[in-house]
Amino acid sequence: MELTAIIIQDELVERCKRGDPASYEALYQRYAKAMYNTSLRIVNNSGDAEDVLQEAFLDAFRSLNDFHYRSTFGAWLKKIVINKSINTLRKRKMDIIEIDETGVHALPEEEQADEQEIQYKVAEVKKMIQKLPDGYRAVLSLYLLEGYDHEEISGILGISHNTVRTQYVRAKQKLVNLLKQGGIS
Amino acid sequence: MSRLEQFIRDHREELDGEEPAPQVWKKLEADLLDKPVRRNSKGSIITMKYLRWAAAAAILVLAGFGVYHLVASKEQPAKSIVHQPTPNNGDDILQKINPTYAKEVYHFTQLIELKQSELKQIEKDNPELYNEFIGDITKLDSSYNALKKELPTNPNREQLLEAMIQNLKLQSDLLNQQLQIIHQIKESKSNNHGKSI
Repeated sequence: MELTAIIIQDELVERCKRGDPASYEALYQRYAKAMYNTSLRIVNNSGDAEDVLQEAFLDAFRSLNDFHYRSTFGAWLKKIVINKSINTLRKRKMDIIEIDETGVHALPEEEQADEQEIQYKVAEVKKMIQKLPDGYRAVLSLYLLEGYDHEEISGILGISHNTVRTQYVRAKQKLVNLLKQGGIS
Repeated sequence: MSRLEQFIRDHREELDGEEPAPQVWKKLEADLLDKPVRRNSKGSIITMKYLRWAAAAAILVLAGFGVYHLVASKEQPAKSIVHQPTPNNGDDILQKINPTYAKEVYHFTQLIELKQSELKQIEKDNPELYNEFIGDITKLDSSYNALKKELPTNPNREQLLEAMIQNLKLQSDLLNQQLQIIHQIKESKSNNHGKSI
């Protein structure tokens, strides 16, 4: 439940509501990069992420009058971006969740990598996140990078809390393992 | 938190390193020019307000029943533990901004107090659950108070008030859900008891 943000009116958003063209561009420039990266981590493909970005901003601009500062504009926009990204993922693979649920039980427990031995580097972490399977990557991104809690993620992905929890634990473990292997080779 | 989680949180900004192609804005701009964004359409706002009132009315009716039952079943309702903003406090400013909203705030506040006292009854049986529930409510309540503090200085008071009412409504919904959970627990307990006998 996201109600902790203290709501202050956003001058730029207000100008967009009044239909000022220059403000649209300014608002786009303010959020484009962050939103693009958010989408890119989920869809894992720059072309798709750019499509999501364009559609999400278009939707946001067209429904600005439904935005009442219940959250910040950024949080509102991010939700649109994430929903569109998840939809893209779904279209590509018929059902990410089904694969995830069966995958969880089918996968053998991976050996626990000892984290202490690994020296993390940003570029390496980024690369390995890209190597995660779609479902793992989505849950990990939403939780660890976008800051949603398990409950919100279960709503976004339409899966149970338990699945979110196990998916996250496994995604994290998988990432640690990938980073460990990457470090050795 | 594991080292990986800590690392990712510490380097959150650097992980947002990619740039979208400039064509995205060009395409977006063309789309915006093609079909201009719609301006204020009063219609949807009116339905929203109407719906909100309908919801408030429904809740009030239910609350009426609640009060009756509570008074009838318990002579002394337990005192609520979480501090609720009393309607008198800063009520003047609410009245000045919008009297109907002020009324809404007042009713919701009362409703919430009522439910909290109902919730208090499980404290003895299930203190852990009770504390967890109260924690959730307290979180909402503190953001309510933050909003309220904003009120005298914020230029857009009506919107802020709407947010406050929304917050109160969430508190009330949350309490409803909590009470429902408690009800379910009680029911399953009594079922199990029945079976073991």
